[in-house]
Amino acid sequence: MAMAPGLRKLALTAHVTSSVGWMGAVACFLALAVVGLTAGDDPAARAAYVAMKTTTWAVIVPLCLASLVTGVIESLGTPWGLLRHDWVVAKLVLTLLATVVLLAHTQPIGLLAHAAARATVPGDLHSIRIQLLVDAAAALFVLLLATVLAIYKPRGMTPYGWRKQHAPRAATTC
Amino acid sequence: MADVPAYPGTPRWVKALGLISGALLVVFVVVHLAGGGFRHHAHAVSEAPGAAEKAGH
Repeated sequence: MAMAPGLRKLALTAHVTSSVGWMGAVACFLALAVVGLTAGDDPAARAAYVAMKTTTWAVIVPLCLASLVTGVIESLGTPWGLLRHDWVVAKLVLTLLATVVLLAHTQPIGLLAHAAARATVPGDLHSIRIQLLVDAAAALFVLLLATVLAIYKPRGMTPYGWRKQHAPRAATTC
Repeated sequence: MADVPAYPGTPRWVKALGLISGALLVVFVVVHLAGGGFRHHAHAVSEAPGAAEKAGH
């Protein structure tokens, strides 16, 4: 189903805005994770973990879901399709992986923020602090990959897309 | 009736991306297992504010 040009541009604007915003928010999250890990038990570290929780729930999760939903709508409303081209499928898989990992991390982020807001960041949470840093860096890399795919649109069709593209031509020539 | 041309196969960049994604997934799992991260995910529920009250402690 093809979208009208105006609607398509609106969907594209929403998708680009939410995707780039998501990447920027994850970059901020990574910066806060670095501060949290390197500042020891300073007030700066505690403030960073409290800010990470707010950033996650107020910015990262909404932008992540918006990016996923607008991306699916955008692909279904254009000739690219959702499952026809390799780059679209790859981008969808990367986004779904990033979404699942993000949602799985909301609880440890909340735990750290809760501990930091009370008094100190407990030493036994050191492993979580490292994990959040590593995972934020990995998430930023994955989102960068998705952005590169969206811009370069490398060639390649899925077997389903290949059949869909050639089936009508075969039908009209018989 | 014309046949549908044979599928040319998966491009090299898709295989490379699959390898990178797989490596990232392995790093993710190793970091979590090494740091006891999955255990902490479960702790996060029990240590959350109000969890003790809800659990009846």
